[in-house]
Amino acid sequence: MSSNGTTALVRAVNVHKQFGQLEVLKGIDLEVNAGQVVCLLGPSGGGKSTFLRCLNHLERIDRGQIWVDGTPVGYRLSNGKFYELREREAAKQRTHIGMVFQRFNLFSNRTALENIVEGPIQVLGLPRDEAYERAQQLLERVGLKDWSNRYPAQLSGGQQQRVAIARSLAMNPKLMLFDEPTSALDPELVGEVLGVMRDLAAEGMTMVVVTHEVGFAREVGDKAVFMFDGVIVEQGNPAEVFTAPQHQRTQQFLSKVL
Amino acid sequence: MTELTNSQGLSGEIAIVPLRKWGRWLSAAVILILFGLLIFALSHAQIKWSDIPKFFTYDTMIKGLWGTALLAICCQTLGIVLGVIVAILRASRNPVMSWCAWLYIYIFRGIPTLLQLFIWFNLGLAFKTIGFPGIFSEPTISFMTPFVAALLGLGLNESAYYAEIVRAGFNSIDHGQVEAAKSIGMTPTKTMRRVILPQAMRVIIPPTGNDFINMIKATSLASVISYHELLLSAGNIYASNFEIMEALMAAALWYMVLVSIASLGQYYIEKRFGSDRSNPSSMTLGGSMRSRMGPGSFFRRFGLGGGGAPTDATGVGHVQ
Repeated sequence: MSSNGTTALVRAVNVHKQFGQLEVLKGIDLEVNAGQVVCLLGPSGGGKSTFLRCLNHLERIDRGQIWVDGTPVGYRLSNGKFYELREREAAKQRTHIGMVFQRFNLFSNRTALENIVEGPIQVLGLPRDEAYERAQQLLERVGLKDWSNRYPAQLSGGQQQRVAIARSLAMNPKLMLFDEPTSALDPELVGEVLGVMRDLAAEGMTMVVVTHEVGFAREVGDKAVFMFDGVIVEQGNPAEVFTAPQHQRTQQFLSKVL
Repeated sequence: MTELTNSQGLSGEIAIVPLRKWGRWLSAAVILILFGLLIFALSHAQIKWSDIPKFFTYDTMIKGLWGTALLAICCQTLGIVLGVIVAILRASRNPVMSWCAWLYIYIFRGIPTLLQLFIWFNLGLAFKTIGFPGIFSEPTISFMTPFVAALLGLGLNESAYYAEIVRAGFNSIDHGQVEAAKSIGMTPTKTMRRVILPQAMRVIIPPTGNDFINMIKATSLASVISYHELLLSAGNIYASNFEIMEALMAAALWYMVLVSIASLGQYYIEKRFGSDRSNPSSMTLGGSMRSRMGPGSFFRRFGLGGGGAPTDATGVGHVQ
């Protein structure tokens, strides 16, 4: 779908999603270019997380299209129709889209290191030695070199989240999705996770981040997107949007969180 | 007031008198009396105590012992294998499969075990031959031996209960674990094998031990379809010498031995698989059991024989 010659890595067109009678997404259009950091902001229940979960097909969209790296997510385009993929085919697509969850979701029966090697060994089929070596490097990269044999329950929230980031990175993702990665953390632990994310952005990783951290969005984000009630009301350069929001809802929201 | 102004006052040493626990002494006395009465009653009972050890090692009793052990192990294995399969089907997103699994559980859990044994054993009355079109065919009478009938009756019954235990294990797993597995590209099969089952084990194992202990005792039902196990052995003995109580007690002793062995096994298996890694306090320096229970805990847990041994992981225990 690079028909109009852009370098968009993620392209969402008119995405709709309903849970029963509740319309959560009412036509979302969004583009994320390779290397960009896009922050989704807005009040809870606005559809940010749902939209993020649609990007790797954890939620099935009801209407519209989502393309990641030139491939329709969750569907196969054939004869002008989208055919829904089998779960194992969707799984294959997800290998290249990393996701970090609000509640970390580390495998609680595996150590930090085992969490990281699980995907490379089981999904990518990497040799064990290589997987473990890379996992150790990744742990070092997120500042947890000496914590490799700890179980998730023995780690602080901030450490768990950094392991979770390393686990995603081990799959060599083209795109990283962050679903409120610091919302479940004690305030003094937020910084260490944002630090890892900041480094990641600096290395050129394409990231879509649902967050309430306005400071992070302003400093690291290339684009800030405000969602209310299932629609994007405003998006643009964070510096501009945060200082001079155009839409009334954005102004109200920012006046409360800033 | 006067005591406070006393020369010793608040600054001096004041002796502490522990609460007197009269209830313990009283209950001990009552129990001792009751126990004495029981001993008195038993010593006057018309039981030839010296015959019990003799019956205990009779050939027919030993044959029954192996019969019980073999049947219990086979039935439990069948129950576990089928139970896991049924539980997986029950959790399937395919509504047909899920419904079939529900129906299976509904039927085999709904009919009394003893009645199921009779139905299997008498299957030949309804179906003269048994087989699969084009593969094999055999007269039901020769196929449905007491062992096979007992295996099917007890095993299928157990599988229905076991499926519910496994399902409770699946349900105990946070959905976030599944989403994390999906997010790194695991297929549903791999997610089941690598993420859900290993974590569900912690919840599944303790009730499995209870089930096996129940199974050992439930095999006594197979005596009614003339399968040679302990209770049938006791029957054989008292049929020839009319020492009914003595023979029954010898069989009861063997059941206690088997159950004790199973309890011991359960203790070690739980120690191996049951460690709770989501609970940091139980993780330090290996082994949750040690920190949770301390020395002598085996007897605290199983001191009363085992049938109703506590399960700390789940409330799925059941009575057969």
